[in-house]
Amino acid sequence: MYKILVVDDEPQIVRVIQGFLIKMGFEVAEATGGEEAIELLRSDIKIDLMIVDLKMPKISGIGVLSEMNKLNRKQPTIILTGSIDTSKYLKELKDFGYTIKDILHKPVDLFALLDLVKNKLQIA
Amino acid sequence: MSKELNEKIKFLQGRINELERKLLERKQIKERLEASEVRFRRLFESAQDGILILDANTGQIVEVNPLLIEMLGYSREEFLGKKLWDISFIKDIASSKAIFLELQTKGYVRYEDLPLQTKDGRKIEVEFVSNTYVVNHEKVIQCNIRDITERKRAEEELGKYKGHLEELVKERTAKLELEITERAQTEGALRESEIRLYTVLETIQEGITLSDEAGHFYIYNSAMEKLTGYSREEANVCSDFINLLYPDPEEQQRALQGITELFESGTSRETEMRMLTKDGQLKCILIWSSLTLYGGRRMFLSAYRDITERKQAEETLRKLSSAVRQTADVVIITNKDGVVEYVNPAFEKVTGYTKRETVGQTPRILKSGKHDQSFYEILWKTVLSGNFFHDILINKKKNGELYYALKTITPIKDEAGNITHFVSVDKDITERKEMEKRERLAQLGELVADMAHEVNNPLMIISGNAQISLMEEIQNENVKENLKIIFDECRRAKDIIQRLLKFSRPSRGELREIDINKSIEAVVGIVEHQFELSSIEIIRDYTKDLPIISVDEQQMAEVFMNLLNNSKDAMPKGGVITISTSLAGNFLKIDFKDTGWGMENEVMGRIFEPFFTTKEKGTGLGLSVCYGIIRAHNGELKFKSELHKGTVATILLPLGEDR
Repeated sequence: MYKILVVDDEPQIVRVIQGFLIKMGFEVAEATGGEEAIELLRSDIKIDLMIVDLKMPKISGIGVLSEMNKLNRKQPTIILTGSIDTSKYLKELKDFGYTIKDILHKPVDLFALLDLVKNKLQIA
Repeated sequence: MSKELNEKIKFLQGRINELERKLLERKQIKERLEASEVRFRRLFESAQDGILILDANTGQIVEVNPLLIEMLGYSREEFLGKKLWDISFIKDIASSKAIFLELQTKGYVRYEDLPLQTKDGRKIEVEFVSNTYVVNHEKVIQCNIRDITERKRAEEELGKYKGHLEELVKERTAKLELEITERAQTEGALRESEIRLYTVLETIQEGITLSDEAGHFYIYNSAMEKLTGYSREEANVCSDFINLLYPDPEEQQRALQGITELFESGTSRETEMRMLTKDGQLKCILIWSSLTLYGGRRMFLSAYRDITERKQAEETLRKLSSAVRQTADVVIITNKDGVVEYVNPAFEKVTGYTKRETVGQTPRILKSGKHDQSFYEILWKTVLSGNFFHDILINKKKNGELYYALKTITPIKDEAGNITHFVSVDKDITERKEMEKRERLAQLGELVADMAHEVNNPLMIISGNAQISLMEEIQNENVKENLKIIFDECRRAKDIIQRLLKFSRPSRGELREIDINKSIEAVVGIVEHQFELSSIEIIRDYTKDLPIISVDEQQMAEVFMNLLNNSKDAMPKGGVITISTSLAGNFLKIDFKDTGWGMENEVMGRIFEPFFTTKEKGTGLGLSVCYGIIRAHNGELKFKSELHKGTVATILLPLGEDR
C-alpha cells in the first residue's frame, strides 16, 4: 500500500484530501505546515508520494522541497497551490526538477488529483 | 690937356654908352610892348567872353571882339562909334544909361544875369562884368559879356534834375524804409522759424546731430545728451567719440563701415547699434543717418532712436510667441464669438487638423459627442462671465480618434475689461489616462492575486467536501444534486479567479516560435462551422511568409477565440469577419474586422475593465484577459468602432528584441 504525505497549513484541506485518498485505498501521513512536514521527512517514515501546498507560514512549500532535496528523498511530489499565479515559483520549482505538469490548482477536482497521483506512482 | 680931354672923352664915351644902353633898353621895351600888344589882341580876339571897350567919358564903343559880334549878331561897324544905349541889345535905353552911370561913378559893375536881345530878336542871358581903367591917359571901360544861356539852362535843368533827384531820393528812401520794415519783418520771421526749429529740436525725443567729417557737432540736441549721457561739449572735446560710444570692436567696426558706406552711396541708411552710455548702460539704438550739404560742406545728419525697450518688448514677444508655438500644449485662440483665430503646431499635431482648416471654424469641430449640452453651456457661462474654465474634455481628432484634453479656457480682456478673445490651452492626457487605467488594472490584479489564494483555499474545502460527500450513498436525489451544484459552482468560481488573474498579472507561459497565420487558422478551424450556422462568413486575408514570432500559443489562442466570439455576438443576424495579418514596422499586425453593430464611445472606454460587460451572460473578463495577455507579450490591443457599421480589433505584437 502506497503512503502519501499531505502537507497544507489548512487542517480542513488536509482532512478532505486525506479522507479522499484513504477512501481510494491509500495510506496517508498528514502535516499541517512546513515544520511538521520536514520533521516527518527527516524521520525514517516511508513516503511514496508527497502532496504539498506552496504558500504556508514559516516554512513554505519551496522550503519543504529544498529540505527534501537535502535529505536526498526522491519520492514523486505533487504541488497543490491556492495561488493561481505560480510564475514567481516556477523558476525555483524548475531548479528542483518540476514542471507546470506537477502543479495543481485549488480548488482541485479530487479525481484529477487521483489521476495525477496514480500517474506519478505509475499505477494503472 | 689931354688929361682933361681924355677925361672929357671918357665922360662923353660914358654918356654915349649910357644913351646906347637906354636906346637899347627903349627898343627892348618897344619890342616887348609890341609883343604884349599882339598877345593882348590875340587874347582879345580869341577870348571866350564877348568884350566891349567904351570911352569912359563919352560912352562911345571903341572896340568890340569877334565873339560879341557873333553873340549878338551886330557887325563891327554897327558897334564902333555908337554909344552903349544906341544899340538896343540891352533891354532899354534907361537901363543902359543907368549901367553906364553906375560904371562912371563906381568904375565897376557886375550883373550875374543880364537879359540881352540879339539882332535877330533872340533873348540871351549874359553875365556882365565891367571895370574902368586908363590907357594912354584916357579912361576906358571894358565890358566882358559872357553868354550864360547854356549855363542857365543847364543850371535850370540841373535845378530841375535836382528836384527830380530829390524826388528819387525820397522815393528811394521810402523804398528803403519799406525794405527795412520788410527786412525787419523777415528777420522776425526768421527768428521765429529759428525758435520753432529749436523748440522742435529740443522737444523731439530722438537724438539729432549734425556733424562734419572731423566729428565736430554743430547740432547735438538735448535728447542726444539724454541718450548718450554726454553733452555736446564733451562730444566735441573727445577725439574719438565713436570709440567711446561703441567700445565693442565689432560694433565700432560697423559704425565706421556705416560712415564709409554713407560716403560711397551718398544716400541715407538705417542701422541698429548697441551703444554704451556714459553711465555704462548698453542701449539698443536705431540710427538713421544721411549725408547733407550745410554751408557748402558735407555733413552727417543723424537721428538716434532708443529702441532698447522696444527690443526688449520684441524679445519678450518673440519668447512668448515661440513659447506658444513650441509648447507641447495645444493652444487655441478664438475671438469672443468662439471663432478660431490661431492654433499652434501642437494643435495640428494632436488633432490632425491643419491651421488653415481650423482658423475661421469654431472648436466644435473637435466635439466628440461625449459631453451633453449642459456641459458646454456651463463652459460658456463660466468663460463669458470672465472666469476661467478648467476640466477634462474628451475631444475627437480629425481621424475620429478620441483623446482626453485637460483644458483651461481663459478669457482675454482689453483695458476696459471687455472680453476680446479666449485662449484655450490643453494637454493631451490620453496617454496619462491610459497609464492610469493600466495602473488601476495592475492594482486590481494585485488585489485579485492576493484574494485568489484566500478564496481558493475555502473553495478547495467546499468543493472537496462536496466531492467526498457525493461518494457516499445518498438516497435523496435533491441532496445529491445540491452537492453537485456546490462542486460545479466552486469550479466556476475558480475559473473566474483564474481568468481575472490572467488579466491582472498576465504571464507568458511557455513561449513557442510560431507562424501566426497557422495559430489563427487553428482557432478559426474550431469555430468556423459553428459560425457558418449563424450566417457568419470568415474571410482570411493573411500575408504570407510573415516572420516567426515567439508567443504563448495557448494564451494567444484564447485571445483569438475571445475576439472572434465578440464579433459573432455583435452580429446576431450574421455578417462578415475579415481576419488580416500584416507587417507594420517592428510589429506584426492582426486585424479582426466585423460588420456588427459597433460600440458606443462610452462602451469603448470601458471594454478592458474587468466585469464590465454588455452581454447578458458575459463575465466581463474576456477582453480584460485578452488585454492582459497582449500586454504580457509587450504588444498592444486596440479597438476602432463605428456604431451600426462594425468594429476592428487590432493586435500588435513586437518582433525581435522587444518580445
